[in-house]
Amino acid sequence: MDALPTDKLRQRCDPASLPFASTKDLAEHSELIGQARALDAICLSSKITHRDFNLFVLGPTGTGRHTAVLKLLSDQAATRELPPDWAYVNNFEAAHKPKALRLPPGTALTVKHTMQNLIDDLGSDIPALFESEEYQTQRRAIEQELGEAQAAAMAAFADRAKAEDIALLRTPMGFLLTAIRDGKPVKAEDYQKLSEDEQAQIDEKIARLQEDLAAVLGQEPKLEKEHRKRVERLNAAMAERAVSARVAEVEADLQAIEVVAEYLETVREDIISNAELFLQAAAEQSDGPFPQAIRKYHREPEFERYVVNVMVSQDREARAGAPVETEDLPTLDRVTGRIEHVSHMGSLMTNFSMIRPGALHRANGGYLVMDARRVLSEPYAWDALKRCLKNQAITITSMAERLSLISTTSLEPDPIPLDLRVVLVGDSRLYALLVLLDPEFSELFKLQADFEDVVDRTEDNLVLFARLVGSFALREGLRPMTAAGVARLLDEATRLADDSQKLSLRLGALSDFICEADHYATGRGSEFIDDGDIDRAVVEKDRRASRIKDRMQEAITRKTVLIDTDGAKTGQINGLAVIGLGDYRFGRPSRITARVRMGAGKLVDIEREVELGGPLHSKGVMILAGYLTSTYALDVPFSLHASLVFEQSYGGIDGDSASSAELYALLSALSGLPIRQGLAVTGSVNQTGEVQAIGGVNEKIEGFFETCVARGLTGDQGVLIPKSNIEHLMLRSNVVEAAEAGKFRVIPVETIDQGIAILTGTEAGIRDKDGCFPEGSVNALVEDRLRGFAETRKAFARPAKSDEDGTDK
Amino acid sequence: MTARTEPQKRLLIGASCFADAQAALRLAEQLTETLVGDLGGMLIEETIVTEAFDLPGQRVVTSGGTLVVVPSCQQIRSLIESDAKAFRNALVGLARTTARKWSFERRHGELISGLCEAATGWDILLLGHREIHRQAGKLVLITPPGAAAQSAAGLALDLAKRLRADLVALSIGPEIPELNDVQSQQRERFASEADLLAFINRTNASAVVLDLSAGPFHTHDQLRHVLAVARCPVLVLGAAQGEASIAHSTQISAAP
Repeated sequence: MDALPTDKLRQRCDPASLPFASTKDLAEHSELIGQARALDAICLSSKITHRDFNLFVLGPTGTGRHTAVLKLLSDQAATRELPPDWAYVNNFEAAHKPKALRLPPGTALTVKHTMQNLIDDLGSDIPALFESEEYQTQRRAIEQELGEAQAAAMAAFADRAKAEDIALLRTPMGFLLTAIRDGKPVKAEDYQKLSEDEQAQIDEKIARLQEDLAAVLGQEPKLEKEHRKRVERLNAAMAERAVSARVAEVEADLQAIEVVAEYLETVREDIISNAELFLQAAAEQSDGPFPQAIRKYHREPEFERYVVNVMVSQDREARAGAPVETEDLPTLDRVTGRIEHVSHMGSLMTNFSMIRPGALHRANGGYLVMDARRVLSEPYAWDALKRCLKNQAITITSMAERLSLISTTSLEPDPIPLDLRVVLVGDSRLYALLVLLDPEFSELFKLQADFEDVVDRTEDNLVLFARLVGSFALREGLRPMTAAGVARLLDEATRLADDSQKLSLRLGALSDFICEADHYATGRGSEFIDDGDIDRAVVEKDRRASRIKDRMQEAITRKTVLIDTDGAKTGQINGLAVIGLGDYRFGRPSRITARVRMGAGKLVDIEREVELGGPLHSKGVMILAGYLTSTYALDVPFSLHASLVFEQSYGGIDGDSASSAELYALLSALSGLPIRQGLAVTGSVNQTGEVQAIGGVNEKIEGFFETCVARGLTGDQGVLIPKSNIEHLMLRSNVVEAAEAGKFRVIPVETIDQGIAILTGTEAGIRDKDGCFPEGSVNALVEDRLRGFAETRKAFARPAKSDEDGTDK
Repeated sequence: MTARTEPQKRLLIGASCFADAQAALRLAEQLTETLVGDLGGMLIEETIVTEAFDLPGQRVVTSGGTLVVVPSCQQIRSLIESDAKAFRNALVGLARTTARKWSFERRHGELISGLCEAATGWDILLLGHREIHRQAGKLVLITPPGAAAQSAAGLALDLAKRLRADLVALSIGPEIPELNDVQSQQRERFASEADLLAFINRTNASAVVLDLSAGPFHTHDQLRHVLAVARCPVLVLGAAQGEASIAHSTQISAAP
């Protein structure tokens, strides 16, 4: 029984091999280690100018994906030009279709403030102009001119009527003409007394003059219209003077921007035609404590039509280059922007000034980094993002509108052209699902940056890793770490990698250790973090998470869960399982038993029968059945009925790592040779009897070790592991120390034959040239037993056949 | 709080129909702010209007210039009834808005004589006349020869300011009356009453102000002519000097 040398049980980084005394001596290093493939992809995505080369970053959490992406994108963004500013302004011809203004970087806020000042100035100028004597005189002149024209027409009519002895009476319905006799209107009864000639004359005069009066009064609407037009022309002329003067004061460099000049022209025209807005605002002034001259007219609701609603404004002083934006809560509204509403008289109202920018607006011209899972979990956000990328334009649509939840006035803002690179950070499974289920995904996200989670444990990488640790400590304001501390941390990185030849790149978990160790170093007043602090952090983390593990070990110690750690038993073996709780894993032994008898070639996996076994476990059992049937008693029918069970397992089990243990238990049951209970077994088996690598080897060994420690180490205890798992060993120091003291062993095996020999203390046996196993060997005993089952079964079959024939043989 | 410097005047608004009264009420609204205390309304049902109806070919010419069939006597009575209610309601509304006392009365008879008789005890009589057009016109002050009627001039000046209208002062005779505060305004002098009336006839006026007690017009006939040619509301001071000519009166008490 060849136990593994103790130097194979754990990799140890020698602090003396590190070229520094503490991380204080190291140059800063912020580059990721071993991620060249992913970093190249990020660089390509950040630099390539062709459309749709958006990036999906995939890899395990804690590998520094976000940090690396943001750093690389920021570096590239700094070399690019500032993107333009964008603002929405009123469309004076169609208010529901606001216009988007593309402005030179850094000018949007200037334009906005310019417009505010313009409105404030005109708020004072226009009312003053319309109050002026000049305006009032001109207006009165228009009214007098038209009024006198009407008065003259009425006067002429009155003169004619008077000359013809016709009086004009006012009645509730209108004017009534009647004849005058002796200075008084003629009554109806007097009229009847007049001669026919006189009556005819009166009738003719009244009829004619009625028509004349109707014509005079009928002029009034025309005069009124003429009056309105002339007053409007006068108002426009007055407003035009004020507006043009103020617009001309706008700084020349803004006027030189074509879109600004065009916008100012439309504003000028609109203010001229809506000058009454300023008059109304002035009329509604309150007698507050502030003088009228400093009144901010641009804040009044009626002047919202002249607002410049800045969507995005670049700050030249704060940042050079393109933006790199992140959106932590990528809802539809926050990605594409939203249109807000206000409640007014029971209705929801909106206008262009209530358009709010989203992450796409802020990142336009640069980069946008989002978490893929969050984008996909927000309703309609993924759909909207794809649509914007596909159309290369930002179109704002609200979720309520899409779901027809509200019916109210809405807007159709000009789409803003989109030119940005979207970077989604997610995991491999999400990437695979998107590729599989969303045909547009591969078109829009042509690049993937696949982050490694481990890197080779080479000398160069150890030093680089040390520099990375030093940089982290410096960046986070932690104490520097001694070489011993770094060495201990590197060993832990190897442990996290589940591979003695690798280092884990899950920097998040290592950073947690460093921070906790720094805390302990602070507690003991040290200037450095040393290996003791790291060790304590590791132990404390394990202790915090190990409540359930401890309870399970206690159950074993108190024999509530039956595990033997000494003696030997037939058909019983200690298997090993790993239990995972979040990122914490621990191993524990499990008793596996096998029972056999003659049968029809059926191997009952009790776990599978009661649906407590997963598919991989079932597969393992079927493989070992295949091994049995193809290895023993090949010339007779396989006449075994066997049952296998994980004793006291109530929560289900999966994986094939116990298949070798189950096979050993079966072989023991068939051969009748007892298995040494001081040993535990892990490893899967294939149909040819080779023992294959499994996961969680360290936790499994440690789980059995702790059980043995609790029961008392005898020196005969140990664990059989697949030989191919040797490179994965990174056992805790206490296990290694026990091994060094000869109290515990880790035994690698390559085949079932090796394993059963160790477990039973009897050679497995190899078929000789006659095809027979050596007598007394495990295999010979197994084959004999199986052959015996077949013979017995055959014997059962003969009487039945003779009964059918009706003869005795 | 602003203390009123002048004693409040009592204003009687008179008209023969609501269309005339409406124009007068608009003017009264301007006066109530400072000048006017109590408000009175009087609708005179002119006998001549009902008697002059029913001539062959006679039509009513509406303010919009449309010829319509003359209504029957019953319809006219209904219209007058309706006008009286509207007049009263508008007066009540104005009085409530301006916190003034009010009274309203309906009478039968001749408009000018009836109103002048009823104006006893009232400081100002406002004769209503419907608007022929909407263009704001001048404010016409008819001043007596010699010493000016300062109360009429003050009223005219105040009203001109409120209406933002030009004030034109008219007088008869060779002498130019003394007018405090009206010096800068337009003044016209006429040789005869007919010339003055002819001038008013051709003037686009918003209102005419005169003082019957001061002249140059004193009689009801003269006042009737002024109203006819002005074609706008006429503010009359000293109106009570006219002859009484009331045929019938129905007092309507103020609302509680």
